[in-house]
Amino acid sequence: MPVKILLVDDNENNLLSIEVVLQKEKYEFYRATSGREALRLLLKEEDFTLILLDVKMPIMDGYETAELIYQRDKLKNIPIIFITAHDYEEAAVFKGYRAGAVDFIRKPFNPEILRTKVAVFTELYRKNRLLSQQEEKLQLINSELVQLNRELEKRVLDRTIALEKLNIELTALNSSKDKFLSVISHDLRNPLTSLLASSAQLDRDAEKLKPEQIRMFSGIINRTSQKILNQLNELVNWAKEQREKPYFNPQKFELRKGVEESLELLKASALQKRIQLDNLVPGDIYVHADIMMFRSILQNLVTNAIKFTPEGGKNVIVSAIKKGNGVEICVKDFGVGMSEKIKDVLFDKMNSTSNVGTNSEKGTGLGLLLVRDFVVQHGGTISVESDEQAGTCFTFTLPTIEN
Amino acid sequence: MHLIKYIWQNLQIHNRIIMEAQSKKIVLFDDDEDILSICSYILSEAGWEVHAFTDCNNVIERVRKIMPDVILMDNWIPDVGGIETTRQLKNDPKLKAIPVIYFSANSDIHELAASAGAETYLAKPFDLDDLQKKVNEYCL
Repeated sequence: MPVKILLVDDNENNLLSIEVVLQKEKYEFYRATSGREALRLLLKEEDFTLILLDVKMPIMDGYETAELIYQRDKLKNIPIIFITAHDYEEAAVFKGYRAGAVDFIRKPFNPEILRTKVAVFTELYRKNRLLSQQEEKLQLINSELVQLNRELEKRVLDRTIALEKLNIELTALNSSKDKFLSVISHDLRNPLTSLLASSAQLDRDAEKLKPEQIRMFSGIINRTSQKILNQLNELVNWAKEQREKPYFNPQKFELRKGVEESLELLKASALQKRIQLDNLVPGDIYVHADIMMFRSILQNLVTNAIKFTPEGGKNVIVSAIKKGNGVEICVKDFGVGMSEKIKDVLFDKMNSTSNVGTNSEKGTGLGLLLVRDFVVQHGGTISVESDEQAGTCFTFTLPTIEN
Repeated sequence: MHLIKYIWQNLQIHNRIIMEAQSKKIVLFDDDEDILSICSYILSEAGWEVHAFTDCNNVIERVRKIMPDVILMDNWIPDVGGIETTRQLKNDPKLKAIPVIYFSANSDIHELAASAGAETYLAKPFDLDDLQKKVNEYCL
């Protein structure tokens, strides 16, 4: 980068002699013989390092020229050294500084002083330039950092949201595992109560019990043993199922067909209570779901619907409506319905009660929990509406997929 | 002969009245009929007047008619469960003083009994003696 110096003097000889003095230092000189010409040059050429400006010039003197130069924003920072022929007084020096001068050189000038002063300002200019370049660089780096920081914050936020979501899912999963454990331990321990108490009674009072009392206790022992065996088998099956399909494997299938297949297996038990099952699902909906889980969800809900519909009662209806990226599937019965209290504790751990059906059908209380877990695994939700004596409607959502 | 029969019958009635006046009353709630039969047998043998129910509908009305000395309450009793039923009993001015023994096979029976507001609990399965001991202890 060349060091550009503007020399302004109405006397060509003076210009020449300055050039001669400074020549060795290898500057690039621009000459102007009037204030006006100097302004023209400054506007045409850029990046002057220094201006050597003669004070005494016709038409426009050095002070006026400096004032006009410094009116321009672009030129404001170029240092000006005034060159003056006569000895000037303090007032003149003050005027010069007010006009923006950084220094003065007297004519006739001492070549060494001229060279030194020019060298000092050249050096200063170079350093200023370097500084401003570095500042620009710093600003660039800073804005990059701000941008990076913003991206990082966004990523952290996204990750935090994802983790929180996962945490909620895990907590739900954990509590449902707790629930399974508590239901299972209760369901095994409860029948043992009858078994132990009856056998203890027989053991203690064998001699004094009447035949019908012995029959009562042995009947209880027999029934209860059978019950425990059934429950153990159920538990073993459940554990086997858990092991055999540990992976969630959703696939595309037509909803109507899936519902039809699930209902097929329940027709017999519905027939026993003279209840008809209606599949009102439209034919053009495709879902993305695990077929085994889907069957389990539907069979659980429909079994419940049959259980709480009186013998010979109204039809159980399965219907579906497309909503956004999913489908709302509804299993509706017109049976005994539920009170607000039962509805509230339906999915609750502490209060879980297994309710007896209209033909005294029994349940383990595990079914609805499984249903909810399966629906949640598909990213869906399940809700229930019910009125006593009017019936119940379970609604769950599943993701759909284009054909 | 008629007279002897008459006296004998009256004596029987008289005896029953005395028995009933003396025997203490207990109400059992459990949805498992086998458990109810066994408990009824054990407690009747021990001289209790036993009333057993498989659900807790109209609980206040039914218990007020009997006014038992103690209540045995299952956790999984239909429709609303043992916790809610016990709370209803404890909110009734006439029934709240009757001790409730919470009765369940749940592992967390201690917390269940506490949150229901029951006086004590009896875990299933139970020893024959435990049942009698517990009801005698809480019947004032």
